[in-house]
Amino acid sequence: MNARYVPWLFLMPAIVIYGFFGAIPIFQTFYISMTDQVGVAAPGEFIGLNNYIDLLSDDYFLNSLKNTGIWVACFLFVPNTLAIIIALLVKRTFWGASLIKTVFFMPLALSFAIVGVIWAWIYEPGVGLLDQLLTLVGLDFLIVEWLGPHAGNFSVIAAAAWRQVAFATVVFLAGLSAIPQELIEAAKVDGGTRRQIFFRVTLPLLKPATTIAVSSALIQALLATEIVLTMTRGGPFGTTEVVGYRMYMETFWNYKFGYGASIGVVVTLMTATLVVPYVRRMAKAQEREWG
Amino acid sequence: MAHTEINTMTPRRDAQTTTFFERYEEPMARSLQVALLLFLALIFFLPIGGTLLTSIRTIPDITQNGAWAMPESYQWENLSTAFFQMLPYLKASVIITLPSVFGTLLVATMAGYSLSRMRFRGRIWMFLIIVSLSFVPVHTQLIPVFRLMSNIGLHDTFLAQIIVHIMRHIPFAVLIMTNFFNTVPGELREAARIDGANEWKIFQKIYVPVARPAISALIVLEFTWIWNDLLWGLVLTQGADRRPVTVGILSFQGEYEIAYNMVASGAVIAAIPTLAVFLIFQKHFIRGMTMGSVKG
Repeated sequence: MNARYVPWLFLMPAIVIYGFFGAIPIFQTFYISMTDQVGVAAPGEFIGLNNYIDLLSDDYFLNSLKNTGIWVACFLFVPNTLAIIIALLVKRTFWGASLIKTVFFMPLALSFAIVGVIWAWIYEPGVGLLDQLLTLVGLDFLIVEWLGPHAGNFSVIAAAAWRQVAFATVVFLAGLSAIPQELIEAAKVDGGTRRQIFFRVTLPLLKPATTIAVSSALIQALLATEIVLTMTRGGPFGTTEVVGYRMYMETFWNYKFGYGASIGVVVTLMTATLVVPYVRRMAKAQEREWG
Repeated sequence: MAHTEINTMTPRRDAQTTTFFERYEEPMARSLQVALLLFLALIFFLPIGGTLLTSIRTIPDITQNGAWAMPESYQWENLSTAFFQMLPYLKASVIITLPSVFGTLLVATMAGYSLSRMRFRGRIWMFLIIVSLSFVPVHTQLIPVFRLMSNIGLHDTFLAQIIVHIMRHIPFAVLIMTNFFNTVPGELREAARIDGANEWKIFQKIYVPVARPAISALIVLEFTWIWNDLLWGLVLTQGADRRPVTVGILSFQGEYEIAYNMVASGAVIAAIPTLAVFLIFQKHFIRGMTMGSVKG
């Protein structure tokens, strides 16, 4: 057996399956986005960048873009800050730590379909878990129409954030346990205050974990589709629509495949800008590894 | 190090400047922390706890005593009704998920072995392409894949969903396997080569057993992710026959609407498989996630 093609034989199944069902479709999406294809029956006509030009004046799309922007802004800070606090607190418990960890990790096992169904009912006016809880503890003046036109987008974000906190907690706990305890001890001996140690020692050393948690949060926020689909279907009046959901609707509801594809391309390009720095870091690390 | 001077100051415990951060090893602050943690854990658990509670209550009980009251009467039939109604979807999910996980693992372990343990031109490029592909959003592939499956007559089949899941999960799994094999000493392979074993034998007899930790972590992760997929299950199917439980829970919700105990039961039934796998194999799950995951 000629040794030169052996590596490729091992790679072959992956390349064939991904190539045929994954890679070619990526290029096709770019092409379809430049056609006016409707449905699957017939290919559309080539119309250049017209779909993209239409997007610029499409109020539905621009509205979904704005909502996605709110998602990104919220996801950047809220789940990650909470997760750091939780990770630091869990790290310091000595009893019941594994049970408490399990509680915080559990949402990771749930699908967005289930998260959506549970939270849609949590937010139900009057009879939902949230309204009932607030009434129970005497905070009923806080009650608003959770899935209404004003709070809707934020409520959906909160439901998704619940799951994102779980992910970020995993990441930060791993990051914390990778920090050598001697460094913290040394800083203590040097008379560093708790606050100084956290901001000058712990946080900088958490950078790899922070990078992962932040990029994951951004990607999740940009791509959010399933949770909107299960909780609100974009309503009321499109106030909870996000770009990923818009793409799904234009394609599989309105059958405007060409137009839907152009939204898909926009989503992909937005993700790509986030991913490039990460890939470059991986490249450097791998080159070191393999010489 | 810029400073060579040795700091001989003893840790300061100045009452006036101590803040919350400094004091927290004292009993008071310590219990405050534990209280805060327990409070956060409680809030965090409420959605799941509330769902479990509601799933076994009766509607009159809920409407009279409120959603957070202890059950006055238990109605276990809710769960069994939901289970039998959900059974076809659960079966479909099993038929879709198990082959998908197996296929992903097989293909990715081979590819990861090749990338990590063999030297060939274009290796680093292949690796980078795979890293980048692990971030490709579904939105970039949804339309052509849907069209392709319709054209080759695989629309509304289990096979279409299996192929698509394997395709979608190859990049991440290859990434994990490559990184894992990078940590295995190369001497293993050299020794076996001298003994005259061919590449496939070396892979199968030496490297696959060595990779057990990575493989088990990936099985748990991929099982959860593939089982939990909604979008492909929705797009690639027509009727209820071929739809996974994630789609099933939505029609269940639509059917029962304000019968919250039933909706909650449906959610519980739909959540049990992945929740059980997670609770039993939590260590593997978490290890897989921290092995370089950027997903969630």
